Amino acid sequence: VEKAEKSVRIMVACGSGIATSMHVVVTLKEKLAAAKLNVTIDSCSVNELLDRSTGYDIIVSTAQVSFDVKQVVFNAIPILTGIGEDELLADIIAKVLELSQA
Amino acid sequence: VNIFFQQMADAIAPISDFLTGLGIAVLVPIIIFIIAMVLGQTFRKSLIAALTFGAAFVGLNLMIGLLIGAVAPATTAMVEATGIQRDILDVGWPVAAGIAFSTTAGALVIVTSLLVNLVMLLTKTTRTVNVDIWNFWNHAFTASVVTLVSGSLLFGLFAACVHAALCLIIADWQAKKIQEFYGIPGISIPHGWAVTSVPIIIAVNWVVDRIPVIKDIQWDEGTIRQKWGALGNPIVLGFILGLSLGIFGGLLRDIPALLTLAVTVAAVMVLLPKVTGMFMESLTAVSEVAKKFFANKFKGRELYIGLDSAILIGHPTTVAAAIVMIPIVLLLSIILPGNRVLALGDLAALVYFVSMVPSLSKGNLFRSIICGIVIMTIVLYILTMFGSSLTYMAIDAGVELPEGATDMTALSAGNWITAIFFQIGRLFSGGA
Repeated sequence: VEKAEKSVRIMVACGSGIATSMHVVVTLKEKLAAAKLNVTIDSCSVNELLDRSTGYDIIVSTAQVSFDVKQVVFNAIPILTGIGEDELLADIIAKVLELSQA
Repeated sequence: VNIFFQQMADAIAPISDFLTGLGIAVLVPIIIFIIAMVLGQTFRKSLIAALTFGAAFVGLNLMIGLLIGAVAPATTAMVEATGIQRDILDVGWPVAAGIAFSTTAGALVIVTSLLVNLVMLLTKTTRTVNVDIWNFWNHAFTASVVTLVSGSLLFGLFAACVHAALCLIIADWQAKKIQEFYGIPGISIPHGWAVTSVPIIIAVNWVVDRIPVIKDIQWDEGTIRQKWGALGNPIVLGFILGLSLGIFGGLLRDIPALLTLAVTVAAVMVLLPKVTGMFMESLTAVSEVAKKFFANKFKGRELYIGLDSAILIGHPTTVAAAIVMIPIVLLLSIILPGNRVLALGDLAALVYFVSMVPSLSKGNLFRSIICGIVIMTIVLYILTMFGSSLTYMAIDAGVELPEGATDMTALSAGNWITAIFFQIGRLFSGGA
């Protein structure tokens, strides 16, 4: 098994960068640590994304991102509702693996 | 009914006196710890949650001091220079939420709102499971302000229970519409402020639909988002607001002081949410186990997961409307006769105030702005009625306010459910 070298940077966004994003950050930290992945996770409000997402590899957002960003954007609502959560986490883990070995 | 509440209040008084005597910084973390443990959270996570709450409270205390300390001289000078009497400063929802959870009544609301939800699910009077614990701050605010004005903890908690129940009922009512409009199945929005905007939006739409020409207006939001999107960034908005406040406060002759004020307001706009984030992080320990509890208890029933209105605010119409409304709300707060509130902190959170409009108005920007103006006018007058309540709540919670501080409030606390109970509570305490 190849060991992940590069730390993948994830920006979690929600309405204010406070409430739901915090929940997503806590969940992602737990699950990605369990998968032994090397990630850095930060959070901000969706309005700050345009200015603050530079240098991040993945965006995970609970609110709709209504402008163009360079990164891949995952819709985080399944983490809040629990419906489709496992599939979403699997997708994110796959993306992190892909980026960390690139 | 009054006598019944009075007797209950007398019976509960010694207990609430003891609890209040403990001091908020100790009491609320203990309550959080107990709730988390009872719901089945691990000892370690419960302890960390309790301590995080205590730390958040300390941080909030610092932030309030910084904001009020920096802004108060400018607002006082502005009043002297222009004669505009706006003596209650909108410090924004992060402060209101932190204070609301930091009173005895507010902390107990975490229990009562979960109980209201449980009872309504058991009696099949709702389909919404609301584990959005951080937004219980709206119920906590109702509990705190009604307790303050009525002098009865029990009546305060009763008001919060009604607020919680109305949230679930309105959330159920709007659920299908929201699910279809945003394409998110299985959810509803029982947010304590957002639900109160639904009847107002329906009323405004009813009126606008009956006015020829006006009813057909459609505005394009793309250009607004592209050109003015930076205003939506709290640090930029804070800087501009600090600058305007300083200019009105006569600081143009003292440029270093003016720029310092602008940078301080920008700093608070960015730092405050981080501090409030710690309150939310603490409550994650509770919402995590509450979610599991409800999922096991009501397995097999078709239920809606209650979510924060934050998931709706990315809608292009809402983003554009919030930007257009920043100057409008500031202007409203200055020109509305009899209003005492100066809009500031929650100008960064205007998206929330119009988050329910698109699903009720087919995503029409013009309607969002019209509804926003009506909503914010109502909010400002409700807050003028609440007066110094948030300041007194903060003092009760043990926040140290700087000498000669202006009174505080938050636009996000202005809703008609809280207002109705505030008035009832005022009557019941003899109009004090």
